[in-house]
Amino acid sequence: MKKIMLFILALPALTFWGCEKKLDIVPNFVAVESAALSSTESIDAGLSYAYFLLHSNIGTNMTLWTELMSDELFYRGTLNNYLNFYNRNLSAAAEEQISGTDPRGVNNIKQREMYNCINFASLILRAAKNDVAAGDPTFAANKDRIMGECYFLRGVANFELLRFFSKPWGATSDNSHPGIIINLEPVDDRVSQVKARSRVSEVYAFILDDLAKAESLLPDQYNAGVHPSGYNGRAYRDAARGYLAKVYFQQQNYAAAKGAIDRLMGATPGAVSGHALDADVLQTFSTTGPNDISPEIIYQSTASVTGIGLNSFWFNGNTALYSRPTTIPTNVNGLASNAFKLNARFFGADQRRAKLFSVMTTGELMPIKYSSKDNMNIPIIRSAEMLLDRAEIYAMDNSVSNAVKDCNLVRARAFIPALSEGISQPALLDSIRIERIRELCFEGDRFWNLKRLKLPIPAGDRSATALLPWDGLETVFKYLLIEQDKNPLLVNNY
Amino acid sequence: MKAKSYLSAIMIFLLCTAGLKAFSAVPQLVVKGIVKADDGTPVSGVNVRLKGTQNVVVTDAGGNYRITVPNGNGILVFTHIGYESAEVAINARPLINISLRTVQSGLNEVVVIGYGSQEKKNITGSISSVKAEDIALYNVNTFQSALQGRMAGVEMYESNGVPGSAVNVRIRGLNTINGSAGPLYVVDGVPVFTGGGVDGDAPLNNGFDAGSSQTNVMTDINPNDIESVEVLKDAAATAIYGARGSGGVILITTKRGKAGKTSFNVNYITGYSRMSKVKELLNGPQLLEILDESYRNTFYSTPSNINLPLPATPMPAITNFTRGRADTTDIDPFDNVLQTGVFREVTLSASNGSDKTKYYLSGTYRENVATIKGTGMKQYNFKLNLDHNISKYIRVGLSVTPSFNKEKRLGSSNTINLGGYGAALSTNLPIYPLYNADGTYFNPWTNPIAYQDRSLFTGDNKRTRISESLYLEADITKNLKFKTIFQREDFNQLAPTYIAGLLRVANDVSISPFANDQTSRLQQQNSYGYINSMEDYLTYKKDFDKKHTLDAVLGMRFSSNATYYEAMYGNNVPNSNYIYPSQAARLDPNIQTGVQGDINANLGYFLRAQYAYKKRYLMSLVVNRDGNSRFGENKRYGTFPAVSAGWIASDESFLKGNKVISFLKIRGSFGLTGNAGGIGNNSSKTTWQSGNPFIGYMGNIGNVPLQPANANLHWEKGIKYDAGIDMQLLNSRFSTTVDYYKNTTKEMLLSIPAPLTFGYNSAAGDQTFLENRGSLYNEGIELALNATILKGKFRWQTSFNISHNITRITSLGGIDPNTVSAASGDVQLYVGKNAPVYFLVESAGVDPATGGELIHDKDGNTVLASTLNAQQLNAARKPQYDKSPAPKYYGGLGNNFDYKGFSLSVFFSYRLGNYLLDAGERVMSYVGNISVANNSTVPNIFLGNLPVSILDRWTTPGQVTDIPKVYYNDPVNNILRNRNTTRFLSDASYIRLKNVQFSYTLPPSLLSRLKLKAARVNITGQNLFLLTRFKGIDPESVTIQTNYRERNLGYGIIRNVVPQSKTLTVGLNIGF
Repeated sequence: MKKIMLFILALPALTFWGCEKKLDIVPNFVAVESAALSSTESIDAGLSYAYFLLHSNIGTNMTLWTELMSDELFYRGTLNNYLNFYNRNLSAAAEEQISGTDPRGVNNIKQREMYNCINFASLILRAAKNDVAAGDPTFAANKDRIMGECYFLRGVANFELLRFFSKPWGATSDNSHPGIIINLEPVDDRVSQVKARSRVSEVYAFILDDLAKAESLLPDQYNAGVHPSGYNGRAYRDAARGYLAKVYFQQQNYAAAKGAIDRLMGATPGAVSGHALDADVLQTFSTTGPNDISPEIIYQSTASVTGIGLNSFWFNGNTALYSRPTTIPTNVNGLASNAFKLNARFFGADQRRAKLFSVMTTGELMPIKYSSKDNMNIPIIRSAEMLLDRAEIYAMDNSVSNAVKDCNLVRARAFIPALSEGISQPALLDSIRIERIRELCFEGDRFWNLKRLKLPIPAGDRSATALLPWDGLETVFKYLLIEQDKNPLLVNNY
Repeated sequence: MKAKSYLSAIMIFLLCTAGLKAFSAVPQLVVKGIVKADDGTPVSGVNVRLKGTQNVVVTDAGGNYRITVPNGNGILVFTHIGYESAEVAINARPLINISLRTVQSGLNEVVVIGYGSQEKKNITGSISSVKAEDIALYNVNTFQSALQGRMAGVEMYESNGVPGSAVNVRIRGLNTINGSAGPLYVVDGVPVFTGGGVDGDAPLNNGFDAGSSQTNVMTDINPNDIESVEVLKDAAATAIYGARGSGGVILITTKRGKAGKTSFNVNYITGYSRMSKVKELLNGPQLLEILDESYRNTFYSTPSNINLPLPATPMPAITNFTRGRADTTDIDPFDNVLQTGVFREVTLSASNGSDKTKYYLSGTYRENVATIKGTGMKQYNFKLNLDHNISKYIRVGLSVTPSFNKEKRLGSSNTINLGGYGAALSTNLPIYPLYNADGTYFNPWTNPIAYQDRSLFTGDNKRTRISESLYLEADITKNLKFKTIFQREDFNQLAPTYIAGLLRVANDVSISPFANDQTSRLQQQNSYGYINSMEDYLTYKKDFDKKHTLDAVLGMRFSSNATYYEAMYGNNVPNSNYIYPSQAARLDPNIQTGVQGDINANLGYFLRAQYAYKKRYLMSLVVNRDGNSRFGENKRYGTFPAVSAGWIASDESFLKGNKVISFLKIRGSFGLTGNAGGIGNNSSKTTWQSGNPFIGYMGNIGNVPLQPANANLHWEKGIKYDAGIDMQLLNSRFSTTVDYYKNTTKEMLLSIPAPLTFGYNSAAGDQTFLENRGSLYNEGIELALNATILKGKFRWQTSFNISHNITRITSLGGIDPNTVSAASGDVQLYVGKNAPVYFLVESAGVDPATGGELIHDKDGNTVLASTLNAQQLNAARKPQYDKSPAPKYYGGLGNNFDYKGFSLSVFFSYRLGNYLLDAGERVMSYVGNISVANNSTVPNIFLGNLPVSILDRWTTPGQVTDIPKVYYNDPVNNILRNRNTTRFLSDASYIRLKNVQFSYTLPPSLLSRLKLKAARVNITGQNLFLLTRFKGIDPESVTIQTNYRERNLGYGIIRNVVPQSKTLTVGLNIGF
């Protein structure tokens, strides 16, 4: 009997031994961060999704919106969503009614995906800094690359958001006007992360800091011996330099922009040590997939088997902006505006006019940069842009000869006459800016360029002819109203 | 050293120092006798116990007992519900006859209180109970249905009249916004696994039609096996389950074997059911008239059309369907959908026992053919309860409870659910014939007969559940007992659905662009899971100096559970005989395995000490420390103490012998409880997921963080106060219990939509950040009255209870109310106001001049709704403070009449002052709100069935009516058609004849001739009569959703739920 009683006495101790530890459950079908990011491969999978988010928007949505809002495009389609941007009715673009009983907004402006990209990059960055994957022997060799990619993704996503959601650089003398909300650290605590928008100057500093770190940490280029081709097209050092140049240029910090361009392409005017211009203007717009990158491309959105859906934005489907090369105007939703034609003043021999437009039976022009080929890689930064940036910087600095050299490189490729080194500075600046229109049209450059130059946004071919101020809220995206409910500190762009 | 180790040490210390007795054999004596009541009739079922031991037997039908005692020195204790206990010293007598005094009061009744039991008289907490006899009055699928109106403070909402569908049980109001507000269910000491986690009555939703009438897993508990149901309401009562007691606790005690001869019981019930009320719809000609009129109105509402001839009214472009055919067809949509339901139940139970071993064995087969064709439930329940004395001091026991439940659901609720009730209300138009001339189904997508064809459609949910528990109990000393319980419960709900190509509504272009190639689909959904639990506790009971009584419990418990869900779809299956998706020609890429498969674990330590001084000054202290795996490492544990006190004033000298007041107890309690229910198992952890749909850039695998995690998440805290008076008057002829309570919930688990800038939201919806924030309280008064109005041969007893509760929001923690609203913003919460509040556009009737709908705009002006845009309509929404979905009063009224063997029980339940919004009626009341895409090759027609109320529509200028002019699929003139307004909000107060039973019990003289122990026949009716102001069909059926916040706040917005059934059954119960 005593034995039985002793056994009974032991029961609670036996059965409950270690129960406290059993409260440390390991989830079955999701992984906690320490497990999810414990190897180079799983970290790369996280990065891969962050790239996916970024590239769902740059080169597609974001290019398309700026084109719709600029004066180069005549939109004749009927898609409400596109019409909202074309009519510059940005509150409608942000606030779409989802049902009769719930007219709160749906996010049609992709802010969500960009912030997800930023957050995922921040999470991975934190894990990399904390060496969560230190147990993986391959991690040490990849750590710099991983961190560099995180900085790159975060910097680029913030830059794109900033351009859309705040007034441009220079709208106030000290750039203290509201920028965007900086999400520096991953969210652990809701209250401290419900923040007001930072100043534009602060956001620029943050972006430039990220991109500078990316430049220092990223490897030179894709290494086929180490990574599968799916990594070709991710960010390498030149991509960070390209973006640095783009950000400084937009910020009108021309000296720094030139510095980045020099690091990227060599400091000799009229020559490029890397990323030589494609011989044919069409080549830049006809590559497909990760192993088909034309030399001129510094950074691109790579078409892939996952079907980011590049086609459907531009020519696939009846709501797309353009059409397959055609001469029948009824099939086309987007045409080059008359304003564009007047601004561009193409030479007859210009290859870009000849190869990158379809001429309608009515004589109108349809841009076909993105619609000549299925699953085309979309250039984000290419040498021509960098050359034209630098040419303009030289010209502003009255360094006429250098400016002419850089600009002529682009003109030569288009088969148009070279500029003479005897040109006056104002004429040179004018020429370079026209060259920019001809070269970078319909790639999302025009709208931001007007804002950089502090020029009003012309109406283009719209029936209303009023100019929109470069520093007004008319062309700045609105935050969803529900976001103001969620974040009382958020000041909207109305 | 952690708390667990301390407690283990304390336990072992207690056990070791308790001192073991040496046991030795002694000569035995057999005592026999008859137990009679004070009126001379033998009493069966009396417990006869040798005092201080577990040696107990039960009297048979003739009141006879026979007990073996070790020697002639002990005391026999006779106890039975409804009689005063008696103690008789044996004094070596072999024959002891005794008569027991009847008590009306039930004060000596023993009530289960969680880790023990207590005489009702001494209870200091607030507990209501329902006994087997009350449940036996009902023929129900779940015992919860028998609780409706029976107990003060307990509310039960059924989702609809479909057998086995989800319920909401709420004890003393709504104690949380986002968490699980349902009670904790405990069967024989172990928590019930509820499928969707272990939280309250969370419904399970897989299988066809799941989205609208989810499964109530509590139907697996056989009502026939229940001995009693105790509902613990205040902190004093629930604190021992502290961490999970916020929503109250429902303790279910099942029947166990009793010593004596083997007794068998057969219970057979059969009967019929009908839908309590059927919605009235337009017939064929009326529908066409309204269709023509609405089309004409819309056509001429465009100014440029005014001089144009009216085009023909559009008709559905269905093969072989013409206007002529429509004009000559008139089929009542309900004719082929509704049927007379059947309720059939047979239960066989056996119980037997010797001094050493006792068992209770039962099996029930219950068949419930619903009032909707193709819908029904079959249940098979078994139970074995086995108790065995290993020695005088050690007892073991086993419970095995397998059940199998098979449900068929055919479009049983909501607006558009093809085939069943929803289809009758929406898409089975009276102008549609059933068959084509060649005998094939006419337009199968809207044809109920096609859906009932088992070769075209099958949707059966099969749920298997098996629960096993094992206990061991040892008397360490005379006063100290140890008990340990192990439990394992598994469940599996398999929901295969077959839909033939003919019925596939959506044209899936990934199968084929040609509609005729649309082929069949198989869906295999499987939910399964388990719970493991262990409990160990010591009980100490002792009287000191006849003045001090101590009853204490100290113990620990641990449980862990996991639920899983898998689904696989296959397309292109030859016919309905193929039942696995793997037999399909093409597996659908939408395969899900193992989602929701995470574990949740609970660990708790508890102590309760109940002390009584002079048996009239009562004190109780409970301390509970619980840990839950859902919370972050540093926030995991919570301590939940409670104290309560009672004073039996009637035992004081100044009241003793008082002729009016025979019993008076004043009691009060205060304590803390917790809640972790209703939140995700990983809410405090940053978690990542990969796989479909998270494919990364350029085809690489993606790895994605899922949610913003709150490592500081902790228990939702409940602070509960209760004060009550239990009183019996006039020699216990009247008894009453009054309770006042105030339960505050603080640091609520509030799920707050994360801003986009957090970087976690997805296209499917905003992620939420779960945070302890905000507070509310529930305050209320409960009154229960019982009276024996007539005594003697003709006996009349009556019972009445009424509860009043308010739920008031005291803080939303600075969160914008919009972000914590429910029902797409139609239900809101306001600080300082009672909750929930409808937030609606106020309807102001119909403009007699134009027939347009009038509303109050944001400034209160009466305007035509069609003159406002969506934003302006939105701004016109106003809180409806005085029209809450929560009732002001609810309760029940019962009367029992007994004369000789005849007995009549009549029970009404009621709810007063609550409002329901009939969104289902709103959807139906605008022509064009309902349309079925049919096959995509068939152009859509925007026409659904219409309610008869539309016959009163406005037609001529100057006409005064409350039904606006009709338009055809016209979002301009009918701008309110997709918006809930006060037009469909109505008072849903009701009183319902919930249950009536007339029965006859055969007298003992006849029984002995028939050689039976008991025999009873009864006729039972349920829901036979309803008195209500509600404009809809059934004020008792609500829409229950799986999302906790929607369930807690949005239940007042109902969508064409299936009304409760009226049933009439006859039952026969024989014991032998």
